[in-house]
Amino acid sequence: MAQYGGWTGKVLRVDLTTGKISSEDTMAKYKDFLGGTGLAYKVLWDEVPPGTKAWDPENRIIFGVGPLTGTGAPTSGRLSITSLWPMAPMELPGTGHCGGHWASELKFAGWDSVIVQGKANSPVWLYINDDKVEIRDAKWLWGQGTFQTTAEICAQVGAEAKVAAIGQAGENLVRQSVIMVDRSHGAGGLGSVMGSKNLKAIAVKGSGSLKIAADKKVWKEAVQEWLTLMGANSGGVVPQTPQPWAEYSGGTRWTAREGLTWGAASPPIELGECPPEDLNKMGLRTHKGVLDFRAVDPVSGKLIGELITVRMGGCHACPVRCHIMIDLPSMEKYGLSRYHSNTCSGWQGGQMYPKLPLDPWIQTDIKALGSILADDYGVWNNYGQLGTDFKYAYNNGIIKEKLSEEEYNSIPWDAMEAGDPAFQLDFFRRITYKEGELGEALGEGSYLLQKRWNFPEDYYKNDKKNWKFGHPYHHSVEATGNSAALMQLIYNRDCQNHVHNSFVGSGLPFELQLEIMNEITGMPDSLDPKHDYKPITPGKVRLAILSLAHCEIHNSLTMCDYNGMAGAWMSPLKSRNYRGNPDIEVNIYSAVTGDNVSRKEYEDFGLRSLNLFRALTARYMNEKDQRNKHDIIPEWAFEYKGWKDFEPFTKGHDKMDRADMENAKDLFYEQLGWDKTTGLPMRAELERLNLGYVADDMAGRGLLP
Amino acid sequence: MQIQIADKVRGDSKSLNRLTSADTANLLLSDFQTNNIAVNLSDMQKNKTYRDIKSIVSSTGAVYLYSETYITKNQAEVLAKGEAIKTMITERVIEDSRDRIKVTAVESLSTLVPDLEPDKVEDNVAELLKDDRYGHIKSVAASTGAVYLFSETYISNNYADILVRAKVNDPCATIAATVRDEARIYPRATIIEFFKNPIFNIDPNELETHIAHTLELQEFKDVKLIEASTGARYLYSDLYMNENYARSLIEWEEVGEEENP
Repeated sequence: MAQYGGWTGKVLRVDLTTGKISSEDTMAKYKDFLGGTGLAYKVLWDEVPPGTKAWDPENRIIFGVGPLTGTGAPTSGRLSITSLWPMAPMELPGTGHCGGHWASELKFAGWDSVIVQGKANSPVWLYINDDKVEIRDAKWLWGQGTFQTTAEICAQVGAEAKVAAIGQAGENLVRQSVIMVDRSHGAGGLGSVMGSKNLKAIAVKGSGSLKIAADKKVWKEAVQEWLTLMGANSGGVVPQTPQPWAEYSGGTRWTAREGLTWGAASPPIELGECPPEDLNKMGLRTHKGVLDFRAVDPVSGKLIGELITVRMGGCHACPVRCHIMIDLPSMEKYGLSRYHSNTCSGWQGGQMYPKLPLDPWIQTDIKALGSILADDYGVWNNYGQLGTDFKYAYNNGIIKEKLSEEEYNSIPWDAMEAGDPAFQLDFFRRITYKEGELGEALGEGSYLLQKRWNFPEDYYKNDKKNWKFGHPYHHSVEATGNSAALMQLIYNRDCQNHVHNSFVGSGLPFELQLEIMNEITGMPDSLDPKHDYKPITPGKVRLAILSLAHCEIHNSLTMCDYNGMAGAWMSPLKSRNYRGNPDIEVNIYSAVTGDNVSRKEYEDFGLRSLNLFRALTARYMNEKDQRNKHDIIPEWAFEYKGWKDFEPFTKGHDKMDRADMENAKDLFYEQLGWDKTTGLPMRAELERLNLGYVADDMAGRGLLP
Repeated sequence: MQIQIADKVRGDSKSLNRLTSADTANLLLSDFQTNNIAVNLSDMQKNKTYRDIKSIVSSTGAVYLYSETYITKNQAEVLAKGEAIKTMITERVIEDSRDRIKVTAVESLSTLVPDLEPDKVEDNVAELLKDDRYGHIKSVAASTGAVYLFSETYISNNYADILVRAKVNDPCATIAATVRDEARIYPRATIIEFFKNPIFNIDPNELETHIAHTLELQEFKDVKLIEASTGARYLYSDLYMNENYARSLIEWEEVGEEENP
């Protein structure tokens, strides 16, 4: 390759049917798509024709990393795993995202991504040790959970290996399954695709390094600037509590303060204040234990999250540590390790309880046990939708109706009603092994479950979690109103966009946020206060498109979509009036690769991916009317019973207005260069993005507007 | 180099009726590989072009320059005394802000200069606050009328406000003012536990009493109590948000955010 830095120049392809292992030139085919999701969309477009199903050997599963991965650029430890999505209607494509150290290790091994195709005759695992790539027998691992699998592989090839593995759920083709990376980072939804290929795990060891195109001084300055502008987890640029250095406070994950500790460390570590100028304390800013475990210990009066947190961990090259490593001895009574780590939705294993017990330590046990079981079996919670659906079906008598009396009576409902954490041992086992109607149905994922159990209209109007296609909303109307609703339209799983949400979660006062956002979009009225939404504006549409484009770029480079935006759009620095540097990502990309692009050209990387993804979706659906058949806004956004006394555009709710959302779609498609009637990209925009061949293909199928 | 110093000193003397700190003059020298103002001043005195440039030492030992063309020696002595007071005030405020994280009562400054009358302290403070050389020194007034100083380099405006409210030791006023600020600035409702933070100087054992009292007082009638579905209690000011709005904000904070991390 390669006059460029960042990329290794080689993509690994493994055909499990033939056993062929080959290498391809990254730059020839994929440079325009960077890597990660962009690269994967291109693979699907070129190689996986319409009609292919997720579990067909012809399907590809792409472990995507990009030019930034492994370079040490802040937050660049992410991995994007893309394939046909078993839980989506028509098994439309989707991506599971996760962090950890696997992605950077792959780069150190010399690979820009891994494309897996075909199906092995019997269970195998893939061992990537620099250039040496082997398909190894995994019969001895089949039937093991992700923890044991990871441990066994590391015992065989060395503890330094990074392992992406499926549990029994993936093996058993439970659609709602996950790929666990480095033991505790979950890439949701695609475990069964690995299972369908008889692929138990991919272990990576890399001994190489990556070239940075810029000279050392330029590179160091760019990284230093970004670090200076970054905040805490999820975009927080002000501390959660008042502190002498901070003009603003509250509403963020910058939880460090005097007196707050990693209480389970020995001895406990006090975080103290972590002012923005002290970059050496950046990793202490986010104590997420006190956010994910909010129950209060009645004896000490402290949050249990403080007491059980050993330390915060995280991903390769990320200064923002958001992974909570806990020590919870009560887990040993379930035969499990007392130590575990995860973050955010990963701790939501216990969401299926209709009512949590009052005892805060039992609440904690429920949360932790559910997460550990789900991670080990490799069951995905679908951003909480699994628990929500189960509760709905239970509370509305659907489970009783759909299960045989014998099966129903075999379920320990008393334990669930009593808030016994051990209920989950039964619950996750049923899903993992597809036991009975309950296990089979829940494991299918929300979309198929809704159909299978014929959820009533009330569910769609009043289950304020479900967005469409069986996936939940993810930072939607409650984040930036109609603007965020537009972002939810595009994907075939939950939106997974954190750009806009990080911005409004920065902790800055609304008026200041608005001022900054208007500068970013170059348009007025680009943001509304939370729960006080006004009709759509071009500025809010621009925010939606910028968020989508940046998210695609992040997932392609790869860099973290949660933590990365602080620095680009906002910063903790009063001296900059809390502005970030919108060019910082561009500068980092250019410094790493030597590909000196303008901000517009940089955004086009994201738009290119977005357009290709839209074309992929339309092609797999064979549906021209994406506007009405795909870009669905759930009924609850207009009809939720809790908002019945409210009119749209008044304060105190997230109720959307139908006419406004149709207008929003018009503006959205128009700004994207898409056809307003169909919601499909028009030839001019595709050609502008060097996707003329996509336009030709779409035209041939009658899908080009 | 000497021209630059003379221009600066004359400008300060003429336009601002102000002495020029030797430190400032030294800064001008930093580009010239020499930073000894005394040496340069001595040289300047030998040149008749600069004979109007004089120096004076204040009671703190600081050296100042002035142009005799615009400021007489007697005037310079008065100004030097003022500069000394400003220096002492600034040093005290910085020490309090940086080392003790506290605001400095103007009232307390008279002890710095024993022979200075209280109203003269206020005059000096007023002058200091107008002086761009001390731009980081800010003042904040308490509800009692007492004025406090702080250095913005070490304490933010918002934090200074909180410290001053705490000093007044009127928990109801502190609660109401904080709730109003939160509702006006962000906007958001304020969870009651927020006031257990020691910075507010409210005894946690008496917090409930103070909350109840705040809600009863006519002067704080805009402050309202609201309860989330989790049982968590918040306060908001209806000057800035209505009940529906407050309720939606606290429900998101209590329930929605945890379910949608």
